[in-house]
Amino acid sequence: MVNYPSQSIRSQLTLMTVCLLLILAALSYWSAHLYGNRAARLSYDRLMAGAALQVAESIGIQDGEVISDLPQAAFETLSLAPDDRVFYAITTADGDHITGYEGLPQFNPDSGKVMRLDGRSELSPQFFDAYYSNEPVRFVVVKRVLNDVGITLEVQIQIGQTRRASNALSADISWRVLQFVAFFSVLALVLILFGIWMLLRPLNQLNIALSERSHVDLSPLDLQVPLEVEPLLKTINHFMEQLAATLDRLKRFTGEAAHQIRTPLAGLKSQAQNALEEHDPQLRELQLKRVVECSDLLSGTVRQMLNQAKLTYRFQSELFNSVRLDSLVKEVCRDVAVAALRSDVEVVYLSAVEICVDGDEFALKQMIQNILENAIKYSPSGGVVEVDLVASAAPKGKVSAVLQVSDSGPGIPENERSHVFKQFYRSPNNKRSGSGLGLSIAREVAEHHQAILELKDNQPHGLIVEICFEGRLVK
Amino acid sequence: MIILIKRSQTDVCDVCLWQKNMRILIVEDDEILGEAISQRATKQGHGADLVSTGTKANEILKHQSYDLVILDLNLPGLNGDQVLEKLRSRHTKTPVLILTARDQIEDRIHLLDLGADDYLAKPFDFGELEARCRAILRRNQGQSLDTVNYGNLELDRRACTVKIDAELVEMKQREFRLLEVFLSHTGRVLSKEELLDHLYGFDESPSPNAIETYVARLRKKLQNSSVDIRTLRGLGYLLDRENG
Repeated sequence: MVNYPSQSIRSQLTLMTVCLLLILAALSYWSAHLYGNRAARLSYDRLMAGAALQVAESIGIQDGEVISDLPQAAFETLSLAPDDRVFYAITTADGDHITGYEGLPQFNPDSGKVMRLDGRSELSPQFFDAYYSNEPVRFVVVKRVLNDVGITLEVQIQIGQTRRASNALSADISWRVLQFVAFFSVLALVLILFGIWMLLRPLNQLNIALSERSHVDLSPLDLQVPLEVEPLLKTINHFMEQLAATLDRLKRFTGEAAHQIRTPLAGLKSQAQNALEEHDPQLRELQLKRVVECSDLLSGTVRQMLNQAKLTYRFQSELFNSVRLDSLVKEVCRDVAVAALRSDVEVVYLSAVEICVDGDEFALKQMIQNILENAIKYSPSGGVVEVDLVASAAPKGKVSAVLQVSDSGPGIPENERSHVFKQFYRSPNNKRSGSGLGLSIAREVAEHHQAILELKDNQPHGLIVEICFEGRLVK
Repeated sequence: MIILIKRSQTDVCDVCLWQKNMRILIVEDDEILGEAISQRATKQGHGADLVSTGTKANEILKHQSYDLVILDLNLPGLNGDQVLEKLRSRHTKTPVLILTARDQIEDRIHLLDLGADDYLAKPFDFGELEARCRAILRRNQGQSLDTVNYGNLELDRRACTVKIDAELVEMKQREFRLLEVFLSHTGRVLSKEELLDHLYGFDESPSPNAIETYVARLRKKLQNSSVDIRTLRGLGYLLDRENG
């Protein structure tokens, strides 16, 4: 995968805004330019049409001759554009020259658009552009039919004017629009940049707040942020909370673990030292037996601690698989049954259901093993540990699998039940050695599997550990 | 060290493998543990050599042959698995028992792939260590070994006979096979399904009840022995000696 450099939201937003504004400005300038052209042309066309019509009015027929008295006012109107030159010609419809300039460009209806002011009659003025006398010139053509006794004559009045004033007006309009557009574009850009800065400020503040705090400070961030940034802030706070909890747990665990390891180590060393100096062989043997006992206790504690560490790691890294719960329970039962027989405790498995659960087999095995070992440890000599697995219907076609491990030991009094799942908790009335981790691990595994672990009383005495899973029957 | 029991105590002997004066190489960098294993082996009449680095172990194994190698994994110089790899690459079949502080399944598979015969996680019991060693040697010389002893029971594979206190007990073929299966899995609870797998071929499909019948018959024949087949309700059967 190509790793593109990360882009700033601010520069992306700015770039997009600038592009948008440029396009908008270009569009409005272009349309203003078109409008300016049209407006200028229309005003000057009207003036020319007026002049042409005035000239047309002044033409008459006398004795079969066309006479024309060119009105002064008509040309004065046109002289409103001082820099422009004016051309005129009066011809017959056949093209015979009557008066004015000769050789003016003729309007060719095929080559250009016929432009009329009103478009109603053939006689209304027609406009066209042409190149004449080294300049672009705008022409208007007005036709008039002259009637006299016995004669009908059609004359054509053509007036042209160079386009300097019209162009100047058009350019002026465009320029003003350009100024206007530029001013508003810049204003809009400034406002939008300010808006972006305002919107991105919470992210910046978050950034500053995170970078400025010390790396050991794991308290939640208290910032006012917009709705969209809130999930981010919540996630950050959630992670920090988790990290703080993990660190806190680790701290407590390290402290307790130190105690749990050092105490039997101290006992081990003292007993060994005593044995070294002991001369009575019987006492010495007793002391050495204590050394072995201490080592066993210590290895049990270390095993549970390593298991717990391994589980913590697995919980974060392993996905659930389908596990045959009945086979797993029986396997663990068989594993612990032989050692249980040595201490005269019998393990029996009562169930015949076949059931699957989704879970981590290693973790589930640890859980079942810990519960079973606990039950065996507290069973009296000759006692029986009963293991049962019951399936019952649950909503949505699921099956709830209840695993029960019952012993006939002393049980756990009601007021202590909430404590026995704490790490390293040892009941004050408990004389037996142990790491105090077994049940805590079992509970942790159950919770990880969304199973409910409960402690109940056995009759006449003893403890029932009940774990309720969501599972499915084996088809 | 392999033999835990002296001759005078044959009655508490596990499934016994009689072999004295074996040469054992112990490769362990922890001085205390190495010394303890070595002392134990010497006391039981074996010749034990102790080395503390992988490099040294590799050198010795090139020139000397041993009956058994007990190999630690974390070693200075060459690591335990490297020593094993080199040993196997020389096509030496010496049985190797690995000692490891780790007990993850992946490690075990890796070691067995490399050619280890078995492995044992630290800390271990001497009893366990010796049992594992015996099992390895039994497997290695399994075919040549005809008699298996357990308690006051003696099973002769070649002659297909069973003796209790040296007195012949008559057994049907299936009963004999069943006892043989139990004897090769002492200390383990065997489920009915496992027993069925061992006793019957693929083409036969007996019901689990058949096992109950055979176990009942075998139990009756073992009445006078120090060995008993215990039924663990819902779990299976365990061949057990009286008084543990």
